[in-house]
Order: sequence, then C-alpha cells, then structure tokens
Amino acid sequence: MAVPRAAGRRLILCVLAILVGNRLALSQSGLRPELPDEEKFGRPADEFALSYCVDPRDPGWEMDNAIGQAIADRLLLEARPHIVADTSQRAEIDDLYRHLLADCRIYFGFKLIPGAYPDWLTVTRPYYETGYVFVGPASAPSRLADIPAHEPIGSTLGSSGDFRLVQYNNSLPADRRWKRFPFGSDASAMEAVVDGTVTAALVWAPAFAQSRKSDSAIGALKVIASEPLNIPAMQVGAVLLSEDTFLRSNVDKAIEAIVADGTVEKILKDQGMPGTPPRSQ
Amino acid sequence: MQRRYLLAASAAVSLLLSTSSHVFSQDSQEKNRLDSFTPVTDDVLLNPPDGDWLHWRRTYDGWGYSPLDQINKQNVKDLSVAWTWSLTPGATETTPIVRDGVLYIHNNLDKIQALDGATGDLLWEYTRDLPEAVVEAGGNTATKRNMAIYQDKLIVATSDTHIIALDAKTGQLVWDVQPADWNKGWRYSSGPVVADGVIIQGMTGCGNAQPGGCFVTGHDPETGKELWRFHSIARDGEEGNSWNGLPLESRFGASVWIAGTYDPETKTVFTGVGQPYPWIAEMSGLLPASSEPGVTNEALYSDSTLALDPKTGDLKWYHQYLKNDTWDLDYVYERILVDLPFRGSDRKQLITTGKLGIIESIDRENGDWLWAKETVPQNVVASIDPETGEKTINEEAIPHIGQTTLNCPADPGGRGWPATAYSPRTQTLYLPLAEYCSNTTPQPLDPGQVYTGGGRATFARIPVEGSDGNIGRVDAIKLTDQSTLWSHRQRAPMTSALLPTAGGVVFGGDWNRYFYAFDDETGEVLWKIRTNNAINSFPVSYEADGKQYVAVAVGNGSSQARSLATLTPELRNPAAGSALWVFALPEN
Repeated sequence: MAVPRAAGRRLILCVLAILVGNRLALSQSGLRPELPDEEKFGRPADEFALSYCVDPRDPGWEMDNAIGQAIADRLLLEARPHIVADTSQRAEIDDLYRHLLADCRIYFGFKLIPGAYPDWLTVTRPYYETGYVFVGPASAPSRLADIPAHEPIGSTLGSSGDFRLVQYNNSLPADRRWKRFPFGSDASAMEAVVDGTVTAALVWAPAFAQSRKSDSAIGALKVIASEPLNIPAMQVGAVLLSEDTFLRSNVDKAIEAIVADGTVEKILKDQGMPGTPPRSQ
Repeated sequence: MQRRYLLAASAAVSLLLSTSSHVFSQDSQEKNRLDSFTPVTDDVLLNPPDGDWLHWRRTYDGWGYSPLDQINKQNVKDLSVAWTWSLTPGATETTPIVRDGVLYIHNNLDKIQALDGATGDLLWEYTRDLPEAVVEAGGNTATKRNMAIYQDKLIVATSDTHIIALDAKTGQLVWDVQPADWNKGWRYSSGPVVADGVIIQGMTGCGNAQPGGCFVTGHDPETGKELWRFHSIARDGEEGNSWNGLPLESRFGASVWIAGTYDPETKTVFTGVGQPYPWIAEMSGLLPASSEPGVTNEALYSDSTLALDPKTGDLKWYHQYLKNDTWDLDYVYERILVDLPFRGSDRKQLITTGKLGIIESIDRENGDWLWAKETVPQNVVASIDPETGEKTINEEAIPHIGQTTLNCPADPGGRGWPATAYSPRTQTLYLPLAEYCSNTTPQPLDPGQVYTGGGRATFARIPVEGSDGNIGRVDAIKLTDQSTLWSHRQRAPMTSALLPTAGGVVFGGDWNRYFYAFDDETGEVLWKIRTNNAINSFPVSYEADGKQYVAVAVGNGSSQARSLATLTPELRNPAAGSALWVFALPEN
C-alpha cells in the first residue's frame, strides 16, 4: 500500500521525534553528574599525549603510573600523568566526573566489579589482577578455618572480598559463625589486628603490601590462608567517560600488548606489588 | 546609580582570615535598610515579629507558617514578580532569613548576601575562601538548608565544616571555629538553631571514614567556643548494647543533617538523627542479629528524636522510630510542636514524618508514642502497634547481598528534606510527597580505593505498581483527627518545602519549575508561575515597608530532586541558573 508523500514525511518526523526523545531519556536516566561550569572544560586536543590520572591515596598508584607510562609508550604518545592532589579520605563515584573533564581522560586503579559503574563511565580491560588477603598476628592459625567460631574477624567494610565473607559466614549455623567487625579502611582493619581487637582481618592485598613497608607492627603480621572461604582474584583496570570509545579501544590494545610482552609482569615485580598479569582477557 | 564601596575588611584581617566581605549601597544618598537593623534577642527569637523570618522554619515550633495575610485566597491570582536575584550555580536548598526587611541568603559554596527585601539591592556580600578541594568537590553539601541569626550575628555552618559568625550589619567575619575536619568526610548540609543562648549544630557525612558516627555540638554565640558534644551513636553501656556487639570503631552513620526545633517551656531542643551507615545492614554488621544476651541491633540513636538540654547537651530522653534501618529511610527531618487533644486529653505533641511518609506523633514531654498516619505507598512497615508504635517490618523488603529486593518508597524518600509545614488556621499539616519504589541490589563499596561512596547498592527507582504516572503529591492532614483534608497529585515531583500562610494559601514548587499557591482548605491551585529552574528550597514570606513578599530560591543540583527526576525523564532542567524569586501583589 502506497503512503502519501505528506503522510510519509509526518511518519518520518514522528519516528525521529521518538528516537530523539528516547535518546534524551536514556542520557538522563544514567544520572550523569551535572556541573554548573562543565562547559568551560572542553575536550583536550591531545593527539600526541595520553593524559591520565593516578591517585596517591591508592596504594597501587605508583604501579598505575608505570602502567600509564607503558601504555603511552605503546601508543607512541607522550605520557602526561596527573597526580591527583585531592585530600578527602573518601569520595563519591560522581567526583570522578570533574577529574575526567578537567584533569585527564583516563583514571587508573579501578576494580572491574560488575554493576559498580554508572552508564556515563566505561572501563578498560584489566592490566593486572590481585585480591584480598586475611592477615593476622604471627600467633594466629595459618588457615581461616582454624580460627574458632565467635572469634572476631575484621574486614574492610563493603569490599568485594567482604561480600564473600558476609555471604559465607551468614550461611553457617549461628553457633559456627565468626563475629564480623567492619572497619572503614584497610588501615583501620590492620590496626585492629595489631591492637588485638580482632583475630584476623580481610584487607586489600596491595594495601597490606604497602603498609608493611612503612609500619613495623603491620610488617610483623602474616597472611592467613582463606580456606574454607574462596575469594577470587580481582581484576584492576581504568575508567574513562563512556563517550571515549576510540581512546578506550586503543588503550585496550595497548594493555593487551604490554601484558603479552611481559611489561606488566616486570612492573609488578619492580614495584613489589602482589598480583599477576591478568590470566584471561 | 553609582555603586559606592563603603566598607571592607582591613587587609590584615582579610589575609589572616582568608575571607572577603564587601558592603555596598546602591545609592549613597538613600538610607540603607541595614541602618535600622535591630538585634535579635532571645525574646525576639521566642516571639518573632510577623514580618520577619528568623528561624529555619520561622518559629521555634517548626511550623514553617507565616502569619502574614496581605496575600490571600482572593488576591493571590494577582501575585507577580517583585524582583529576582541570581545565585551562585549549583544546588540551592536554602532558606532566607529576614530581619527588619533585610533578606539574608546563602549561595552555593558559601557566598552570603544581605539584600534589601523590598528592592533586591545588594547591601553586603561575604565570600568564603574555601579550600580548592572543597570547591572542586562541590556537590550537595556546598549548599546549606538554613542559617541562624542571634543578636547582631548571622551564624553559618560552612562547606569546609567550620561554624562562623558574620556581623549581620556588615558581613564581616566575627569568629570562626572548626568542629571537625572536612578531609575526613565530616560535612555540614544544614545550619544551626540557637536555643537558650546556645548555638546547636548537627554533623553529617559520618560514613565509613568516621568510626563512632556523628554528633551534635553546642557553641557559645559570643566566641563560637564548643560547650558540649553529644554523640548520636550510643557508646558502650549507654542504653545497653544496641549495635549488635560491634565495637565503637565499627559503628558508622547517625548523621544529624537537619536543624532542630526548640520548646522554650521545657528548655528542650529536639533533633532528628539519620540511619546507620552503610545502609545495607549485612554490610554494617547489624545483620544477622547477635544471639548474645543483652545485645540488640536497634542501632541507637539512629532514626530517633533526641530531646537535649541546650545548655549542657545532656540527653533527656529519646524515641526511636525505625530500628536497624537498612533502606536509608531517615527520620531526621523537622520536628513540629503542636498542642492538640489526643484521645480526649490535651497533649504536647511532637510530630515528624520520616522518609517512609508515615506521620508520627509523640508526647514531647516524655517521648511516649501517640499516633501514626500513613501517606504514600510503602511496603517496609507491615504494621504499627496502635498503642506503642512498635513497627513490624516486612522481611521481604530487607536487602541482602546477592539479591534484588523491592522497597517502597525508594531511598530518597516518600518525603525528603523539603519540609512539611503546619497551619494553625486549619490545624492541618501539609506534606510534599513522592510515590515511587526501588529495586535494591547491594553493591561493593570499593570500585576505587577512595571512590567508595555511591556503591552501597544499586537503587533502580521505579513507579509504584499500578501507578497512573503521577509521582508528585501534596497531602493536607488534619492533626485534630488525622483525617486527609485533601491530596493533590501530579506528574512532576514536588521538590520544595511548603509554606502555609494566614491568608489561607499554601505555597510550594516542583521539579517542573512551577511555583504554586494552593487553597489551604481544598487544595485547589489558585495561582502558579513557571520559573527558570527546579523549585528546590524552602519558601518564606516576609514584610518590608508594610508589604508582604514571598521568596523562594530555585536551582538544580540537589541529589534528592535529581533522584526523583529519574522517574520523569521528559522534564529537563538546566544545570546552572540558580536564582532567588520574590513575589508580591501589584501596587494598585
């Protein structure tokens, strides 16, 4: 059946209106942050540079910096690191938005947790994997399984490892559970082990590795095997604004290359970081 | 008109205090309205002149009611714009203070201005020199929901977590104290109440970087010196062990993020307390419940009313509305004090409405529970004991790690921080409400080592089952018998506090930029005007030169309003464009 030309134009306009309307709806539903001054940032004309953020509040930041340098080298770009100088001990994911507009196009040191990121962010492929470890005093049992029920176990509050601990512990009958004490940071969880508040604590392995270098009391703690709890490794990558698909694609290729040629393994070793190159990509 | 620079801080003082303040007169020949400023004494705070707006909710009893009646049901249709004033962009959840026709306004990121209430002329301006990190962080806590005024000082809680006093006539900084460190996550999102000669200020931002939780402090108005500190998380031995056996270092939250109200008769300050952090109880360690004798998981004093002695900070009594809140359903908002009969006898009632949208009344002399009234659809509380107020929780609504559960209302609340208000004219409580739910899935907090906020759970906000598409709502509830006088429902979320007046109108605004005047007895929309951005603040009414004005700040950036707006994606607002709109009747 033929459609009259005027009716056809109206149909096309309607379809376009619906498509535009849906696009607007989708972009708002992602709750992208709104900065009242965001138009002043623009996008960097850095065809010859890779501007990336690393954060000294993250125990892995020096390794992240070396990874950024290696990725820039692989892409034949000038590495332009931005050392984040924020002083707040905690921040919201939304706070990344200003950094990704103002300071850098890629921000290293983010765990690849499914569902953890809003639509306006995208993540790269992982450049290394590490995990969470139980730490305890020298006198502690060598396995979590040997710590008696009702003993207090510390955990850095709400980490992916902590989720595993909560789910496992809650699945046990009440008389076989440990007491779980959540702490606000890896540092305070390790402190609780040192001062005897808890028998052991589940912390981010890079945080333990860094802290034991500078704090002799933490240096005296040992790693306790997590059996019977299985805590899988955690992959670490970087975040970008979701529209930076071309850059992400190139960074992903560069990560693949520096993993394959042993650069990542060498950086991990040089930095004394617990972890391995990603086993599957 | 020539702008003349009249007064500035001395260079030395300005450098020392890292702030700037400027006083302006639009016309040097004209008498400056500040010349007739009179100090705000204790007596004035107890009985504010009808034309002033001196407290967050105008009077100590938290009514948010204006006794002015020049603007009324008959003439409100003629209401028009008297003047407007642009504000610093960003969230603008503010309440002007008005004294002797001078309107004081807080701008995002702590620019404070004194404006002539009749003309909108700038009289003085104070700009706080905030640390770069605070400015860059911006966000919701760069706005302040209220300030306080006492004697000749304007008292402001700042975005870098100081409390300051400004000279109300000049804007000069008088004193500056720092109760807590912004870098550690402490925040102020509201200002203080001044009661019995003491500044009383609540602390917020007490998440996982602040073991031991939040607190309320009392300060000397002459110097800012801290007089007392009351911790809103119970310490060991205080009211038993209500934190599931957790040590103090593992207890978080109980933010006090809304200003309190005050009963001068009993010299008691009433302040609300928010929920434990993080919200999901399996994460906070409040679930599963401990089986140890004497240990509970109520998490005192979260979601409670605290009755405090303003001079000492001593706790007189408390009433907890929601034990072990695992949904972010604060009971932190305004406490409204009314004397009305209940079951045949006069009772001194304290009425508050938490995010659940359940209005609850307790006896403000002892905390005894009196009655409750539900408003918006909710599925968290299965039942309420009509004698004790004890709530039975719907177990299916409790979030668990690894599961998605449905809870109504969603976390920003069936009512949020925009305040309810009470009119003695109609003996009615007016509430800005929202109908919606959340599919809640707990998420790890640690995508980044520092970027831990916002990951407590994924809250997929959805309309209530069978919704007709209306999200916004205003209810009018007669407090004499708890009956619904009227209910106005609409698509756009209501995003402002409400302002009933002696003229028989109730002002309020929405996300769709409309500012309304409702008939206080029928809910009929008598007048409306479309502004330039979301109406997302606390409207006030005042008098200058014998004329009644209605003022309301508009602006985008509040997380509560933006969360509601996800349900109405077709309603878009600009990111910038914060402004103060002031309305009055035409001269003739």
